[in-house]
Amino acid sequence: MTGQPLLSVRDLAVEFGHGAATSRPVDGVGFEVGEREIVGIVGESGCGKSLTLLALLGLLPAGGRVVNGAITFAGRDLRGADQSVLRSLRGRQVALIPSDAGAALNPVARVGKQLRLSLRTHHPELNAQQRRGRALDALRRARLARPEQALAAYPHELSGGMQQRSAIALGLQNEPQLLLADEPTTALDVSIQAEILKLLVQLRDELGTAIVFVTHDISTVREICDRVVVMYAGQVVEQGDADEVLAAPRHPYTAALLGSVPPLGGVPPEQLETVSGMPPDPAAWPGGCRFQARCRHFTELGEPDECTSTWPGSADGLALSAACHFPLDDSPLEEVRR
Amino acid sequence: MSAVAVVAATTDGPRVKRGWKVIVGGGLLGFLALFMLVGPLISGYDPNATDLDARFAGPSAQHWLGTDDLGRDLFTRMAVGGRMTMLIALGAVALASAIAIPLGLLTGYLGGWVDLAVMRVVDLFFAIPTLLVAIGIVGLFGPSFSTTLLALGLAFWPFYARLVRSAVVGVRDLAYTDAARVIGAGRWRIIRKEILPALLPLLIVQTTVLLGFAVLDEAGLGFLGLGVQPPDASWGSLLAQSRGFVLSHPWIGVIAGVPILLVVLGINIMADVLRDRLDPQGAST
Amino acid sequence: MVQYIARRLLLAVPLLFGLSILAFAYVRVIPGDPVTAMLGVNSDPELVARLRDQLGLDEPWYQQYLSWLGNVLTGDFGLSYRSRMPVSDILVDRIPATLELALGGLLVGLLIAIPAGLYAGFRRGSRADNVITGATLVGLATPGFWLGTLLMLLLALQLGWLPSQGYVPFDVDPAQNLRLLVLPALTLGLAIAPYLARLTRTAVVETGGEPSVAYARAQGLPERTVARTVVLRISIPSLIVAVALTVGFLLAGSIIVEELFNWPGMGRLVAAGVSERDYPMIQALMLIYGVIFIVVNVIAEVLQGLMDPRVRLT
Ligand SMILES: Nc1ncnc2c1ncn2[C@@H]1O[C@H](COP(=O)(O)OP(=O)(O)O)[C@@H](O)[C@H]1O
Ligand code: SF4
Ligand SMILES: [Mg+2]
Repeated sequence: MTGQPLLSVRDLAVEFGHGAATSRPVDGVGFEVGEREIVGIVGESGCGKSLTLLALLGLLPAGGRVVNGAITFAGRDLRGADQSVLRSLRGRQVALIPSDAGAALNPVARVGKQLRLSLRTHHPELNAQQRRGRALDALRRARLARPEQALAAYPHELSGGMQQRSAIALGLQNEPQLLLADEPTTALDVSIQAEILKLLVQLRDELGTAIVFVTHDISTVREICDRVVVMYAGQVVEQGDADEVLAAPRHPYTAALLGSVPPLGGVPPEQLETVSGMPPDPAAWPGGCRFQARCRHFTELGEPDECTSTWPGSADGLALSAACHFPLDDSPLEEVRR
Repeated sequence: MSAVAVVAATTDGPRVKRGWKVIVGGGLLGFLALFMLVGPLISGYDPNATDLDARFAGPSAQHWLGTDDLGRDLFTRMAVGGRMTMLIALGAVALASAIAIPLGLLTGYLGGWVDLAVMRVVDLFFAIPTLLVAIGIVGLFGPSFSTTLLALGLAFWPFYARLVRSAVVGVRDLAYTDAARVIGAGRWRIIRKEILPALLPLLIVQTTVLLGFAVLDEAGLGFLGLGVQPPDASWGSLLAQSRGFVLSHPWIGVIAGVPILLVVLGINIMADVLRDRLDPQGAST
Repeated sequence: MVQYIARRLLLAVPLLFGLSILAFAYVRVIPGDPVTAMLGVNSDPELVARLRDQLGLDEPWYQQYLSWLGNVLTGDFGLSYRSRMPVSDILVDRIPATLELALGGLLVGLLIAIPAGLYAGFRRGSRADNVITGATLVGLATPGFWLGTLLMLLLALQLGWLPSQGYVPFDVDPAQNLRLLVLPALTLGLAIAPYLARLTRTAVVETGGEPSVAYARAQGLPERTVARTVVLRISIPSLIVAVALTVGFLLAGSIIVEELFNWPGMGRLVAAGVSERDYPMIQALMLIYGVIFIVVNVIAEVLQGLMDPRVRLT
């Protein structure tokens, strides 16, 4: 990454509730997204991925608030920005692609109307004809088979894949600099998943839009991401170049996630290593390393004290060298494991 | 959860303090209970004793709320009438529950044609105003204390049954009931041990809500002259009686509605409190 | 859409059928011999014979039902026991007054409740919401006839702004008709407003939690646009259906309001009919109130289908 990153997040924390009922589901997240870059955020369901995205947009659910950290987008501070600034950014410079477009698109408005409404908000200078042309363009770019028909259709009249493409068109038509795609393929069939992933890469190549791609499925990261951010229990535990991290994970959690999917084109390992047990509760994070209760490495190393007593992360939340006291490539056990 | 779903799932803001509700609701009900139970003892009047020298007396030291057209003490009659009204309301709700809960459980759990048949009957009852159903039943048996109870109970059960049924459908296929089925628990056992406990919060809240409606409808029937008959007093019959001289002596009609308002308000507030405590999903709005 | 409407209409048929069975059965479940129950023990034998014949009591029940239904469908509800006049003649005079009152009450109720419910729903948790929700709670606990009594005492007797009771047909004197309508309609409207306000608020709040609303915000649409194009557009169709379901309250309320203000609608026949055991009259009233409810609800569902494309599929 050269020069200023497009998006920079440092030590972000989000809280809900008050007093004894306070929870901190995002607790020290840092990462960067450069121009034209596709960054994957991966982690189990509930680790705080969606809240991280919503915090960026200033759209945390009621009761949620950013209590720490810095968010800088295109040189502007977003954490302190007020709602009107954020609103002019949303959908215009930063667009969200929902996970289930079928539920997210307005069920009682035709797709064309939804596209035009967003254009009217963000490009008031366009006339009706230009708006229609632009909406059609966006649908074509999202590779919708029959864009004219899609314009006149209600969301429920489209297939899941077409709904997702419509949402992508809705996100793209204002030519944002950054797409936030929150599990954009989980609601789809496997074959359509692959098409949508391909589409995202194509769009980045054509339009130069940077993409934050959130997923709980690390195998999809391998297919499209330049860099990867691995989250666990509201924190980043490891991040880096996607190829490097996936080839040689340093954090035991990343390794466990990778172990739970067969390597691409490779022979499946004899035993699928799944991460057993449940992640901890955001209302009561454990001290020390949050992964410790589920960490096999910890057991294999003879339960060292560091893991239970000291938090292994870095203050900026970036975890560039893996938030672990005993990263895998330094560990004597690593040879055995390979 | 997706970003969008997270926002969707949490429309609730920070928890509002609900303490005042318990105080107001509980206070109202406590006050009225005291009035009904102890009032007649301290007033020292027989509710049906007439005193033709003291007709239409206004509030005074002798008659705290005045007297009616026959010189009967209104304070005492309202307290005693309240007992009658509450007895009817409680009885009617008990009757409606006794019909609706088993029926709702059965239809919801079994589904199939039983469900279909019963729910069509329920639909039918929805099409006729509750009050009219109750009036129709009064028409069959003639107005009296027990008819009023019966009429309200029979008019209410369909609403309740539909609610129970849809709640049962909601929990029927949940994991734990499935688990119970897998380990071979029988139908009755599942209904009794798994479904009923899960429904308990809803049932408690709904019986409370229904109680408020029963009080209002008892008064409605009474107002039409189809409730408890004179000389016995209930809040409904007091209102019916006051209609005869509402223009010349409005005071009685005005005062007779107050305890109804207060008791139903107290009941509804307590229903809200119960909903908040027991059934947080239902409380979100 | 045509298909959707046809299906809604078709679904109303079993309901209407059930209603007719219920009304028919009603007279048959009178404890004891129906004729004696109706006329009393020592009644004119000629009358008894005529009534037995009118009810067709010696035929099997399904034949009785069919001939009764045939009569009803041609508008023949039999003779009122009280006045010995055809029930249908009496009703024809009464129905317009009831409809006028019900529409007036509904209008007042909606005018109060919709703005209040929308305001509270969109500003959930605000002071205004608390005030409106509190007023709703008190309103739900207020007996309608008591409220009507208070209004009558205040607006008619104290202030003298309005006539206290009575009725003049619209075609005789429109102005006086409307003046007389104000108090009853206000009472009925205030009585149902809390229900409507609560429904409205709930609809807005529930829709506010839909993913579509969050997604609309994520697109940077202004709050007003989100409210108008998403929240309202989604909630109004289901709200229409919910309001139609409260027509039962409206009709029940009208029975009492008519009684209170001497409004000569069908409602006044209800209490009189029951006190005097005028069974053909009660039967007819059940049918008509039921039919009004069913018709209103079918209309509401059709409107919903017009406004919400998803519904048309069901
Ligand atoms: N509105 C909310 N109020 C309180 N806690 C919440 C709320 N939304 C999410 N959370 C908590 O935050 C955690 C992370 O949520 P989320 O960001 O949706 O996870 P992910 O997208 O990684 O699956 C969840 O486990 C949940 O406990
Ligand atoms: S710090 Fe210890 S417990 Fe945590 S991941 Fe590393 S080895 Fe496992
Ligand atoms: Mg998520």
